[in-house]
Amino acid sequence: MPALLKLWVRRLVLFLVVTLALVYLVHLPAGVAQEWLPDQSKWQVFYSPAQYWRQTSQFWTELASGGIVYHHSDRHHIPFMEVLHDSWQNTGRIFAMAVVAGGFLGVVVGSLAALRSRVFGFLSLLLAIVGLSLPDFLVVMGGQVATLWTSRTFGFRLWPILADPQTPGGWVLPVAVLSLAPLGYMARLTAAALDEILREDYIRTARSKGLAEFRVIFGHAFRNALPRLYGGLPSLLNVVLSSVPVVEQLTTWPGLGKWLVPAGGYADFGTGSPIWIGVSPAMIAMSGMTLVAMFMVLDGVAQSLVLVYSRKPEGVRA
Amino acid sequence: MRHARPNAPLVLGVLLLVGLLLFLALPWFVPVADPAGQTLTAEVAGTLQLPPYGGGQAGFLLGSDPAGRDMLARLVYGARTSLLLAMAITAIRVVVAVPLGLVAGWYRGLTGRLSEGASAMFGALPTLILVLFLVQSVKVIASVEGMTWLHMSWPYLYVGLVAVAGVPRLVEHVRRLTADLAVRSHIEAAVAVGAPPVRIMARHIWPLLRGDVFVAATAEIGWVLMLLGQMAIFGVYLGGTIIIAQDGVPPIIVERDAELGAMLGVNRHLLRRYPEIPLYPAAALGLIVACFQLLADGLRLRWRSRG
Repeated sequence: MPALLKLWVRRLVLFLVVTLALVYLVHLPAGVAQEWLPDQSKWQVFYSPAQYWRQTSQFWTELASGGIVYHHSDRHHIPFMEVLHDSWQNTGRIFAMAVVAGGFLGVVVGSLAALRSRVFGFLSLLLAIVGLSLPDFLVVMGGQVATLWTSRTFGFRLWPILADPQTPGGWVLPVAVLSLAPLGYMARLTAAALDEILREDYIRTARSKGLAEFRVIFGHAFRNALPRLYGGLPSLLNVVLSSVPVVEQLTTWPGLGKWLVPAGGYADFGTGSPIWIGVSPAMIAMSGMTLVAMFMVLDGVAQSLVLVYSRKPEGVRA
Repeated sequence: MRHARPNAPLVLGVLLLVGLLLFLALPWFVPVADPAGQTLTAEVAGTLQLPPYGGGQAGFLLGSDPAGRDMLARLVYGARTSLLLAMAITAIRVVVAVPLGLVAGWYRGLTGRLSEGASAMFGALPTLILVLFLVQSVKVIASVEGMTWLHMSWPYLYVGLVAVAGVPRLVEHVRRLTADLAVRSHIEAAVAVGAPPVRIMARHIWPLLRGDVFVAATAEIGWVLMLLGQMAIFGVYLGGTIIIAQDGVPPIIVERDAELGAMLGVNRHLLRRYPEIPLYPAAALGLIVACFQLLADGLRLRWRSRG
């Protein structure tokens, strides 16, 4: 399919351009250098373009050999690829779970709202307002304060304050918060799409033939609403992926969000070549590249679905 | 007969806006404390206590922050600063994006493709990550001794960087709308009678576009405020911190300026001990975001239903 192929080639080119820009951007702090001034007995901090280019070239070499190392302040060293492997999987799991759970529930609530049920109509509206209008950080902090309150007042916790991928309870808060946006978004999109389709002539015919409302919606209307739902997927993925780092940071979920902010700085162990202790620009660049790749692939899949389902069947004239 | 459904987002948005305006105007009606004034010791239930004070204690309606500054006053002045900041960023985005989008939509060709390409490039990363990388990279360099000019202009640079990151998306939005409008019959008629493009854009396209741009700008204020809050979670905010040291007490780090993002970012680690201190600025920021999002949503629904 030339259109699909064109879409993926363009995404690949875009990925390469964005990756290059990203690496050179996040390495800017790597050019900050310091020099001991013996006559003034103090360190002079200055910006060295030569060090910036050296660090950037070193990043490409280390990336090719897989040799980026995470240096702890206690001189403990770990290959960063191992850390990144766990981190991106944790981010991927929580992201997938939120999109699938929230998206599915959103479609169900939106479909039920289209049945002209006042309760589900109100629920759909409420979810859309809460999920799309309230910021993620407020919902996470609200959830944490709620569990603190029940713990102090009634002696039980609704969910753990901090997330933990090893225990089922540790998933509740981050997944629930991340699910809210897809839930609200899909509920609104489904309700709006079905509302429009349910006014079509063929739906009126199906109803006049005595078909049950449930079958009218799920057997006829829903199938034709699908292209519009696929059309909303790219925006949905963008919204959820934007929230993932914030939720990870607030709940200390061990995902990619942990590696997006520089921490620490250079330390000289007398080897003549200072190393970065903590979260280095190279680690941020790697995490950023992983996030871009995840987003590009998922967004590409969503765009492909839109492309495939928005095509007119063969033989149909415009 | 089909009854029109009430526009719930617009109603809620207007209610929140009225509440927000009343809250911002509070110092004009009732005496509100100095947001920077400190109360380092106060008598609470017969004992001398150090801050932070709880709600209703030591004359603080919503309590105080760890430096003994009135939380209500800081929220009011912080909301003013944050809103002004978001409006300034949005204004820059609109002023830059609208002419560019109009030109790209009208001339199409290379300018159109450039707009599409820039939007795709900036959209390849979630906005938060893009702005975070941009701002934190420049911030580190601005902290270097020799970069005094960069350090001095940091607030303007911060506003500029956050504004620039949102421009390509808005340009693309305006470009698409313009390209759709450009094929309408009255525009084609204007071209046929020889009207110059600038006149067509100003007299025929802009009047049809301004409603959409107004809605987009309203939503943009909400997105910018959300972004300021999200960046604060990662320790990137406007204004610095100050350390308050007292004899026999561990030093306290607090935000210098009353700005909701800074108040949230600096105090978020206090959530377990003093939940209300980070929760108040988060809630204030959240409600303002919700207000603008709902207003934009409601206006969009209202204008769509009117055709």
